[in-house]
Amino acid sequence: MRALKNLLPHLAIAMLLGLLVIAILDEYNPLMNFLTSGVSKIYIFLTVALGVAVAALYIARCRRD
Amino acid sequence: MGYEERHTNPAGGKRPRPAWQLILLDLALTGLVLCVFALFHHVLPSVQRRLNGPMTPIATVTPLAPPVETAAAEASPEVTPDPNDWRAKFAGRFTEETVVTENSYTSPNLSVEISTHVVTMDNGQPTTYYVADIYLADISGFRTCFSNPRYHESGESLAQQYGAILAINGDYATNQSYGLLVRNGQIYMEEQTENDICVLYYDGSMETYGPEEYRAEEILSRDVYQSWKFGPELLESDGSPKTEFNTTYAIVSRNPRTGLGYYEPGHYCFVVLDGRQEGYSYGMPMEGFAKIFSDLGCAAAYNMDGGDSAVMVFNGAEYNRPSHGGRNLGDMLYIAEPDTPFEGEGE
Repeated sequence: MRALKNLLPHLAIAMLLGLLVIAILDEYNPLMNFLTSGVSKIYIFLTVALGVAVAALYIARCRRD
Repeated sequence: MGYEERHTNPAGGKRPRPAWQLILLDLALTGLVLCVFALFHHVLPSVQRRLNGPMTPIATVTPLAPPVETAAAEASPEVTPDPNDWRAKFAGRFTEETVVTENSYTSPNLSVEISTHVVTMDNGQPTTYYVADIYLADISGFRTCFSNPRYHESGESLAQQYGAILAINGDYATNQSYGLLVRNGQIYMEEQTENDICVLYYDGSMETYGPEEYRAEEILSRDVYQSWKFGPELLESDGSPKTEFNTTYAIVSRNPRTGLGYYEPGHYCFVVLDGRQEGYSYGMPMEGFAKIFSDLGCAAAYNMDGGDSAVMVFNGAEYNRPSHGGRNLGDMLYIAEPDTPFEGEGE
């Protein structure tokens, strides 16, 4: 469980950086549907969910400390 | 307890990972995430398309019969030329025998003449473009084809395969899952889109639609023969060049380009502009490309896929010089004799 909690922030950073790359690619070639395809919507949803989870864990940790 | 402390063991014998290691780890993880995304976004759909085989139409447009002449018109002693009879209207353009030169093709059914133009850009660099002036006796001479779904093919290969006299790259429609897709009267897709749409009707007229004008049902209530969905549209309704385009900066900026122009039913032009080759052809922004069609006197014009895709094939050989040697294409627009089999016929 501790390993998972330690991994989550790194995964969040990776997915957010990935989202940044995808957004830049979409700006250059919108016809490839980098931000609007079904896969992209799932990716964005997962990234947001992960962001919320990391933030919730951080708040819980702060409250415990 | 702080974050760094959690990376040490309880005995306190292990130091936290250095920051550069964590940064490298995060970057590697980002690469992994992007690879997984590319797998689902690019590779698997492409494999699925290959497994599905060629694109399959969902419906066919059956053109209405031309209007029956009224008794009053028959009784009229004056013979008025029928605007729908392109063979008579453009008779001076056609020849009784097929005549082929290095830049022209004329026959009883069609006329193609290619001219080469060189303009000097603001920075003193030349830009070269090719204009193919096309007259048809029948709309069936204006066709489109898809590349093999298992492997995309070069422009030359596709043009030779379909017996094209003249061909240009299309809008890479096979890679897009939105908009209106009608090819040779077959409807493949009718989805919403934010892009400009271009439609060629069976009566030979061509119209471009912005996203606010696009109503698939309304358009399909007429006899649609071909449609494209890359864009943008290049001319205003009065034929003047547009200065603002419904696309992104990357597409509007200086590039090799391909475009389709429309004068009147039966009279069209293909324009291919080379670029990214200093000393030969620098390329042109969209605004300059739109002005070319306006100067040619087109009533409507539409931008196709460009960049390395921009290619014109005449009599089975590349006529322009595509940047980086060109690339394999998903689809093409081509001109052929009416008796040439359509895509899929005769296989």
